[in-house]
Amino acid sequence: MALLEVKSIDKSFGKKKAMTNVSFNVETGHIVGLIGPNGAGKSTTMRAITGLMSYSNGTIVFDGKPITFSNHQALDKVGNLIEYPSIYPNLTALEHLTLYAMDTKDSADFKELMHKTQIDGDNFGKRKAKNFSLGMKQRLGIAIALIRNPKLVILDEPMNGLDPQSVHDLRELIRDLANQGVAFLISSHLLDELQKLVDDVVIINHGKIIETATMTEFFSHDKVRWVMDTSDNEATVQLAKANKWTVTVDDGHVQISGADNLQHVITAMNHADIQIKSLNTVTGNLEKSLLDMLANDDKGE
Amino acid sequence: MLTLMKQEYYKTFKQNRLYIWLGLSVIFPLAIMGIFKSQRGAGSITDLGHATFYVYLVGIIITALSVSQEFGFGTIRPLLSRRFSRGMIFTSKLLLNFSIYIALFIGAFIGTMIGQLIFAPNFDFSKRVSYAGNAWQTMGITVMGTLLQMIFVAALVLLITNLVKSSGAAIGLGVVMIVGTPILSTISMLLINMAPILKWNPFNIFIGMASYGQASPSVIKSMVHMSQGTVIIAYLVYIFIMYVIAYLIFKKRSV
Ligand SMILES: Nc1ncnc2c1ncn2[C@@H]1O[C@H](COP(=O)(O)OP(=O)(O)OP(=O)(O)O)[C@@H](O)[C@H]1O
Ligand SMILES: [Mg+2]
Repeated sequence: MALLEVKSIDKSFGKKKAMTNVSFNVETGHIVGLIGPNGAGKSTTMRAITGLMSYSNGTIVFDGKPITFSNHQALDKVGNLIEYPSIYPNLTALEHLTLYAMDTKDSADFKELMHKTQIDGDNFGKRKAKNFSLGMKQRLGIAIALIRNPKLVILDEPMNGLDPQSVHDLRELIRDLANQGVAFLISSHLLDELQKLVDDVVIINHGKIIETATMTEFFSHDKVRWVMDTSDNEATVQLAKANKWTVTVDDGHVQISGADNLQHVITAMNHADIQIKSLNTVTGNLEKSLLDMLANDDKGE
Repeated sequence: MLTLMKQEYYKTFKQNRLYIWLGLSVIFPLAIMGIFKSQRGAGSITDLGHATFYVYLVGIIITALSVSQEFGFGTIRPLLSRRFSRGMIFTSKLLLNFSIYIALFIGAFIGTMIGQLIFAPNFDFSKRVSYAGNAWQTMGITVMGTLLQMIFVAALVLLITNLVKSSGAAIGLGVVMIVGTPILSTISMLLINMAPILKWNPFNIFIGMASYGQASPSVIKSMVHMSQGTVIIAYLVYIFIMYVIAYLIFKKRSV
C-alpha cells in the first residue's frame, strides 16, 4: 500500500472543473514530481491533500488513514509549503520553528534543520521575518515544512526565489531525506531541476492526470539522438536510411536515432567518406517530452 | 487544545502591540481623571474612567485582527493544514480573545484605582450611585454589560472577517455598533412600529443590553418592550446563534 493514495478526486470552483478524476500514489521514500502548465491544478491538488479545501468525490488516504476537509488527524506527519511561504512578520526564524514544533513531541533537531536549510546565518539570528528577502522567506518556509519530522513533504514551487547555491543545497537535502524514507510531492516549472531530482512523475493538464510513470519509463519512449553537421547531409541521410536508422534533417542539422551505438554511426560515415563537422548527443529531456505530451493532449481535447 | 492555546499565546506575546494596548488601558482612565476635573466622580469611576469604551474598541480590533491577519500573512494555511479540527482552532481563537478582553479590563481597573487614589481620595464606594446599587455594584454591572456587548459584537466581527477576509470592514461595523447606537435605536423603533413581533430584532436586544444599569428598569422596559430578564436571555440566544454562524462560515471556508 502506498504512503499516499489519491483516488478519483473531483473538484469544481463554480462551473469550472479544477480537478477531474485525479488519481495517483506516492510511495515511501519516493520523490514525485507533479508537473503541468499554469492553472493545471497542481496547487489545487496539494490543497486537497492538506485538508485546506473540500473536494466532491474520491478519497485521499495517507498512511492508511483518510484525509478529508473536516477530518485530517493524519496530517500530523505531512509537511507542506503551498504556493508561498507563510510567515508571521514579528517572529524570527527560530521562533517560527519553535511555534510549529509545539504541535508534536517528535520534532526535528532545530540546529541541524536550520543549518541544512541555511536559515542560521547572520542574516537570520535575531532578525524578524518581515525583514527577510524573498529567498530567505522561502528557505524558512521549507524549514517549517520539515520541522515536524514528516513522512510526506508537499512542496509547491520550492525553488521559487532561491539562488543557484540554495537550489543545489535544497536538492541535496531532499535527496538525503528521501534516502531516509521521507516521501516528497514536488511541483515546479524548473524542469531541468526536477529531472535531476524526481523518481516518479505525475503529469496533470486541465485538471486531469495524463500520465503517471517512473522517470525511466517516462524516458523510454524518447531515445538518445545524435545531432550533427556533416560535409554531405544528403549522403548522410541516404546512409542512415540504408542502415534502417531513424533520420531527420532539422534546421540544417542531421538527427539520427535508432542505431545501436554512436560508434556504428561514425564507422559507417567514415567508410562513406563523410566528414563530421560537429556532433551533439541529445538524451531524454523532461521539458521536450512534457511539451510533446501536452501538445498531444491538447490536440485530443 | 492546550497546544493550540500555547501557540496562540506565543504568537500574541511576540507582538509589541499587545503591550502598548495593555499599557494604554492603565493610562487611559488615569489621563481622563487627571485632565478633566469633572470626571472624578461616580459616573466616571464606575465606568473605569470611561475606559470601558477603550477596552471595547481595542477588544473589537484584536478580535478582527486575530483572524484577518492569519489570512493576510497566509499563515491560515499552516494553521489549518494540521491534525487539529477547525472547531478547535476557532475555539482557541475565541479563548485567546476573551482572555485579552479580561486583561484589558484588569488594566483599566488598575488605572482607575490609581486615579481614584490620586485624584479622588475621598470617593466613597459604598454610597448608592445608580439603579444598580453602590459604586462597586455599578462598576460590576457596567463591566459585565460591556463584556457582554463585546462578546456579541465580537461574534459579528468574526463573522464578517471570515466572509470578507479583511479587518477594516469588521472593525468599522464594531465601531458603528457602539457609536451608532442612536441610529440603531431609530432603525429598531421603525421595525417595531411595523410589527410588534419585530421587538425581537437584534438591534433592539442590543440596545436593551447597552442601557442595562444606566436607566431604571421601567424606563428600559418601555423603550425595548420587554423586561430586563427577557433582554438578557434573548441576548444570550443571539450570541449563541451568531457564534454558531461564524463557526460554520469558518469551517466551510476553503483556503
Ligand atoms: N479559489 C479558487 N476559486 C476559483 N478558481 C480557482 C481557485 N483556486 C484555483 N482555481 C482555478 O483552478 C485551476 C487550477 O489552479 P491551480 O492553482 O491549482 O493551478 P496550478 O497548476 O497550481 O498553476 P500554477 O502553475 O500557475 O501554480 C485554475 O483554473 C484556477 O483558476
Ligand atoms: Mg500553483
